[in-house]
Amino acid sequence: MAKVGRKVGYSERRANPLARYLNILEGKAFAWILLIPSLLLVSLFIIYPLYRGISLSLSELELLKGPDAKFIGIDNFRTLLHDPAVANAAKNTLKYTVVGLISQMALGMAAALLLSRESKFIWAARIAVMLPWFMPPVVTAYMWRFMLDAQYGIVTILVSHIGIDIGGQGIWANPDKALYGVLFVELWRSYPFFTLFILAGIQGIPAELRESTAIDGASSFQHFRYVMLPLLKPVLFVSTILEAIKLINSPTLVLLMTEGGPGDSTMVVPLLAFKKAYQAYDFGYASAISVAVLIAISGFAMVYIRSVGFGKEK
Amino acid sequence: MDSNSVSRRKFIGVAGGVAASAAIGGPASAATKKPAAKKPAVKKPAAAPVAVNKPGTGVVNYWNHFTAAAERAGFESVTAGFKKASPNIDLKVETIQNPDWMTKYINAVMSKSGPDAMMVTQARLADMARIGGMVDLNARAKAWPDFNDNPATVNNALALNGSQYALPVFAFIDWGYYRPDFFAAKGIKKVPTTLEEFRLAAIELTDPTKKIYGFGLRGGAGGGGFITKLLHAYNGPIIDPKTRKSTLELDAAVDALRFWVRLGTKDKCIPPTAASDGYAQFMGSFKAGGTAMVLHHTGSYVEITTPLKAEIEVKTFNYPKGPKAEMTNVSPLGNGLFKGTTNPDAGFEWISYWASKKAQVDFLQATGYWPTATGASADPFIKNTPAFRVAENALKIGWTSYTFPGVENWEINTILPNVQKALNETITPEQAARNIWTELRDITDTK
Repeated sequence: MAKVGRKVGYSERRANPLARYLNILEGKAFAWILLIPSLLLVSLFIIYPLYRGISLSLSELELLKGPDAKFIGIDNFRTLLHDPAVANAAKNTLKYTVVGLISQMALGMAAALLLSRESKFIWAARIAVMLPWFMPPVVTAYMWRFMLDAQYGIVTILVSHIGIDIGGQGIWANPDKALYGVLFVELWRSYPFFTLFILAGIQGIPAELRESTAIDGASSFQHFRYVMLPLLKPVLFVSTILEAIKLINSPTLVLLMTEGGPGDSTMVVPLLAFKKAYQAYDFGYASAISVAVLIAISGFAMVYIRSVGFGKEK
Repeated sequence: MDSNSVSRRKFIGVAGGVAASAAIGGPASAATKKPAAKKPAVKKPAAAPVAVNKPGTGVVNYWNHFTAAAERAGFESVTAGFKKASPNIDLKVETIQNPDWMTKYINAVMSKSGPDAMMVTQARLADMARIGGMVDLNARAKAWPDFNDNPATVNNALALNGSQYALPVFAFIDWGYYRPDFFAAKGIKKVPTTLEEFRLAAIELTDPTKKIYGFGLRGGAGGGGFITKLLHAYNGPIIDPKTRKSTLELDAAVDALRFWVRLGTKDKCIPPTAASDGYAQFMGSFKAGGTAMVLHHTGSYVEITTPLKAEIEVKTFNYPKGPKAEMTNVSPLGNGLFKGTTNPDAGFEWISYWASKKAQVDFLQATGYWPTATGASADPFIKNTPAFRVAENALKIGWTSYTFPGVENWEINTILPNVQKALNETITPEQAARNIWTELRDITDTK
């Protein structure tokens, strides 16, 4: 029987009908046929919405003025560049993403290192650490909003006993603290994501490596710094990029906890786009903001991939 | 451009409606087509309804935005009553959070796939009608014998350009709550009737050592509407009812904002968290004794009088009057039909049931939401509850809410952030007033 991967000659095809089918199966045409369902799905769910989004970003479409979109070229993008609301939201988004990523990765790493130890009831600790990640964001948001309430919040009352005063104006009414309040809740909710990834990475590192470095006299920190961290690099890369995209794109917690306030102190770009679309009904401008975010995320991903040299053989 | 596109849509609607009615031929079918059915009814206002609406059967999908426990309880008693009255209709209820409402509505309009019937607040009426997706109920409403049980002013508040888009089920009647025990402790005998008296009382009632503040100001979610009322109190009407242009004077806006912001920045008679306090916070604080006065409406009466004893620990009062006009506002809420409904007969049967006196009284008893049906106000629950005398007075002095495209966005995304900034002293009340004034002129196309 002809082996897959070898071109079958004419005489062989005549002699063996199965070989004819193998030739077809190996042909480019058949590969394209197999790809059709996937291409259709990609077109339907990715390319068409993307095309609609870009097309809307180049149009004026305010539902209160009528249902028809009017092509206006890059006017929305020009407006966007000079819009102080967008500049403020971009600054907040950057802060939200950078602080969010660093804090989550640090806590996620610490939790993963603790949970990677062998112990009888370690499975229970692993489940407990993951619980915040399983919780719906609506529940998380309202729960923390009440727990951190300046007057009646249980956390406020508890920490006041150890001399920390977050009463008075509290977190949510203070424009200098509100974003960090949401970031704290985001940290509580999302650090298990890093924990999960890093724990899986740690468990993939052979135990013998620790024995070898111990024989060589390496301390635990040196083992972590020079052995584990390089081996965890791909895991850290993937989890960072996924979480960064989530932080940049998802306004859920901010919407539920502060709605961008007080004032515009917690306004982030996706929330601004949401408000422009569904409260001001200006879909053209909202799409332009979204497209700008898409470009920014793509740029960030490209720079990040290049800077860490992901996928390159060393 | 605005009026053009709407006119075109109306034209298409009229043409489609006429064609469909002509093709099907029956008066009942004409009643479901909006403009075609509207015109004869408008042309013959004096004629008595010649037909009642067809009885419905089947499924009615209904969207509402009730979330409070008392509202849910009241709503259940209404749906239970409807089940008895119309056993052949299967009412399927979907509850949508208020912040998600317009998102879902716009998506439903765009995809032409939504509920059969839905809740409509007066503030959203203009936006929802302009976006499309609402059925003109004129023909059906005129054929419904109980339509005129609701006063014309209330029905008209849910109509735009001669089209009735919703049937009223209750009204948000503004009133405030105060703690008579706190007033007595401070020796205050007179309940404030003007904004200045209100401010002085709030200062007097404030006791930071006990963490009691005179006034529970709602500066977070939902707080924008209070500023609209305050602007009205300082300016008189802020929109010309005929031209729909802004009539708000900048000086009046500045005075109003100075008053409101001063309560926090100088008088310190509101909680320091006011800039972020939404419903749960400002009501929770009042119920817990953290504030002495709050402004709300009758809909929270049952909720408030559950933990606090009526007339002993809590009493009601009319909103204080401003220098130019009353602050008290009356705003009906109703139900309309979605344009893509496949079951308009059953949908109308449901919304007309809830607009009836019986259903309104059922809802009132569970919540305190004021019934709009004329006869309903004679209900013993209203007659025997002293607090409702304040609501009756509010009906006499109150003005109906503004309905113009963009009003809700203006309250949420212009008024609220500016007031929050002013309360936090990151901008001055004058700057906040100017931003609010400018944006109102922009959205109403006022030169």
